[in-house]
Amino acid sequence: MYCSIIKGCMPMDNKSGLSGRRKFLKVTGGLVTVGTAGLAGCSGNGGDSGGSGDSGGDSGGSSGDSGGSSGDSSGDSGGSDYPARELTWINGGSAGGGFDQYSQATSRYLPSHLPNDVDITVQTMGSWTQGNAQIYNADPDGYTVGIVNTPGNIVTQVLQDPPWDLTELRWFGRIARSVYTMGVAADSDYQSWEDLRDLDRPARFATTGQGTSTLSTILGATALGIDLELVTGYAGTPEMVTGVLRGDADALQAPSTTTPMANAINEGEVRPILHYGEELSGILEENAPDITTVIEAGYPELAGQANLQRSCAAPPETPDDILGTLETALDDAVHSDEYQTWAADQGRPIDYANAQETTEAVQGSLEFVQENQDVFDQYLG
Amino acid sequence: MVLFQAILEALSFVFSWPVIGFVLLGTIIGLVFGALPGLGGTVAIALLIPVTFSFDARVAMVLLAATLGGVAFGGSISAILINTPGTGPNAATMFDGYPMAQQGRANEALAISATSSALGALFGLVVLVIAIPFVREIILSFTPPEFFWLSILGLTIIALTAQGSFLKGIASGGFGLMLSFIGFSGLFSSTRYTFGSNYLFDGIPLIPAIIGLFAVAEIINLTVKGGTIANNNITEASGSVWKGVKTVLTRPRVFFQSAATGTLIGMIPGSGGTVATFLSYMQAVQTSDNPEAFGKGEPSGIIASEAANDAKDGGALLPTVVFGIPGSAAMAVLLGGFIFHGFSPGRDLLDSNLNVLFSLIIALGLSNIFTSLIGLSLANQLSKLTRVPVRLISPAVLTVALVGAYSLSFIWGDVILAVILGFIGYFMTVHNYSRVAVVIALVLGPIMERAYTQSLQISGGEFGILYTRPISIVLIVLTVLSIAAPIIRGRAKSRGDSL
Repeated sequence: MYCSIIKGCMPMDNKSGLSGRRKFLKVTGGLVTVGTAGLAGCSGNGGDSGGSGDSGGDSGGSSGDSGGSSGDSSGDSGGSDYPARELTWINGGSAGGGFDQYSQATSRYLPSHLPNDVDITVQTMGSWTQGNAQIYNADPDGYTVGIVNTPGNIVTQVLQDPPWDLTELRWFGRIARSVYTMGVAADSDYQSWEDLRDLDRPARFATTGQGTSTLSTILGATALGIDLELVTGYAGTPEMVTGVLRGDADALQAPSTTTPMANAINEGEVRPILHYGEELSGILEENAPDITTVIEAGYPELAGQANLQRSCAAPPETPDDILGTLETALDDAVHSDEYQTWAADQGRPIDYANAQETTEAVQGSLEFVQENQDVFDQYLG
Repeated sequence: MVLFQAILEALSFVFSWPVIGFVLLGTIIGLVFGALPGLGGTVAIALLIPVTFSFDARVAMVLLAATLGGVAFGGSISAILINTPGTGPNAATMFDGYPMAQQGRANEALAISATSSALGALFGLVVLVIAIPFVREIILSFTPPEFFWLSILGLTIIALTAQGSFLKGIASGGFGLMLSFIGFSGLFSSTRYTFGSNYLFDGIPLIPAIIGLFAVAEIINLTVKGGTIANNNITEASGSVWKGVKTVLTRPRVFFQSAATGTLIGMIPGSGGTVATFLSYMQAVQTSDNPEAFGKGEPSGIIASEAANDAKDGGALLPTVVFGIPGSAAMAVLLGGFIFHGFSPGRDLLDSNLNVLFSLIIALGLSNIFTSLIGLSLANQLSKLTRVPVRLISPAVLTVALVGAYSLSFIWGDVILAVILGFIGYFMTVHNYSRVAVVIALVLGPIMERAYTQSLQISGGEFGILYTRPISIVLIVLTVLSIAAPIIRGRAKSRGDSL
């Protein structure tokens, strides 16, 4: 039996098919690859990830063909007049969520940094499948662009064969990167991540079953040696937090900057026990200054690995001149006073990466997920 | 004392000028967004937040809350008049609202909806204020096993809405469940029954499906028959607005049980307004002395749906303001509005900004009253739509329905789906299959499947988790009673007839 304050006592000798045949991520090879070229491939810009710089070259080479083959200007675009009319900004995330908020902010602050101050209309799709498809299938004229969840959607691409290929999109920058934090219910018995590792049964983690939260959970927990079992199907971070509070799962992983996680930490409902970043900021600094980081835990190769990136993409074959215009405008907008003020007021992180760095990160993430597909299949198959 | 002061301060703020004007403005915006299929509260608030950028933060919150208040009733207008729900939760309203419109009682149905909405909202808000100290326990007591039984209990309504043939009802429910299993479930990495279609990757979207099954099917039906929505043989409106108001006031049991159900379901993150209204509708059918009348213009069906629909907002506000965990998509956007204007949910809102919270609650309540007054005063005029010859209004109704389907996600597939299901819905109407059963299964199927799988993931495959928790046991008993009651009632009736 095991007992928790909320759930009471339950039998623990039953294991689902998953727990009996564990495989672990190719931590040594896989994580180094990702650390340098993939998930943290653009962390050099953000400056908060270790491990970069020692083997980045190999992924940079491989990424060169990911979207670059379409680089020539096709001539059917708006050319030097670009943009001449309203832009449509596709958000595959849900209304009110983090991606929606970044999209709304970008639609407000980006236009004044474009050569022509045109309106940007946000189309919130509530479906990454359909949202990414909208960008993927749009004309490469720069008038339909959008925000994409990376590396979360890359897991979807590898495991589910959706109607798009993210490596064919043309990336023009990344707005933010949020590092994940592991949390447990504050009224649970778990005081540290080691308590989860040392359980005599698999530790249950609440996840959506797809996307970055699932990737980060599998990536982090297996690397830490936690015998992992997923409770899947939660619609997003709010439901994952609720699931942990009511005892569905022992823990969850989410960026501490997402509103539900931040509120739960702030309100003392969730106890953060491990941070995947090198240093603390914002809500963690205020509420959990003594939280263990993966570096302190002895896993420096995990620093910055479990993260959510809000990357911006244009359709395949978007001409270089248009992509350059978008990249410059995004760079200027994100670093503008008004965008920075908005981010500070909302508690939203900004961690800009340029087009090349974002492209490399996407390619690196894809390679990482492909390399470890058997592990992801084991947990999600 | 602090609570009392905060309420007084909020009252004087909301009733001051121009704040009261913003409440009215929000109400009208909400009404319009609610009445137009495909828009709804989430879209309305999402569009309004940037507009309120330069507003005083508290005024902005009042405007957003008032907008939310106007949506629910707005959505019932199109549900009653043209068989097209403005928002998902209004779908249950059209089951009886539209038949009433066909009987020439659209004004009465609108009045029932307006009255139930206003009273339901006030009920939910009163519960919100009372329940703040207990909300944690309530929210955390509903886990996946309870969701599983809640959805099973909801599915039992299919037997009651079969409208004639039980077998056809089961077939309709089965068809709905099959539709609900299409696509990626979020439980495993694979997709099901997509047949290689990219559109089906995320499954069958609810609103376009409902628009097809009901609105498009009805337009086909009416075009074939000709005449007007209201029965051609009825020359004068047989209902009245006042009669509609009285109907709600004279059925307190249905109202209170529905408002309580709506508030409770609204509190539980992940359940959603559509589940609240369908479960409430189911409850009304099961506890009625005349369940066969539902689906044919029974006023209690509208009371159940609309009371729950508006009461759920009060319930959904609870986890939003206490935990910062939104109880619905609209609340997620409203939460974004809180943060956008510098208010943090949780202790900050409950301690330091209690007057802001009460301003919001009062604005929400007030907007529901405004909405209902507007609804009552326009009901007679709006109901005239049902007397316009179908050949004149069907192009407009079809346009509204299909634009509504498209504007949800700007995907043509949604329009095609609505048209296909429109023909299927017409076929079902002609051959007496229950479209209600399809929608119920479509709403509850994914919840049932997800809750079942999560329960077993939590228990490590042990089925005991499904029937060992107290609330689960209560729900199992209710499910058994729900199935047994019509049988017992039927036997008692036949025994009475034979005597």
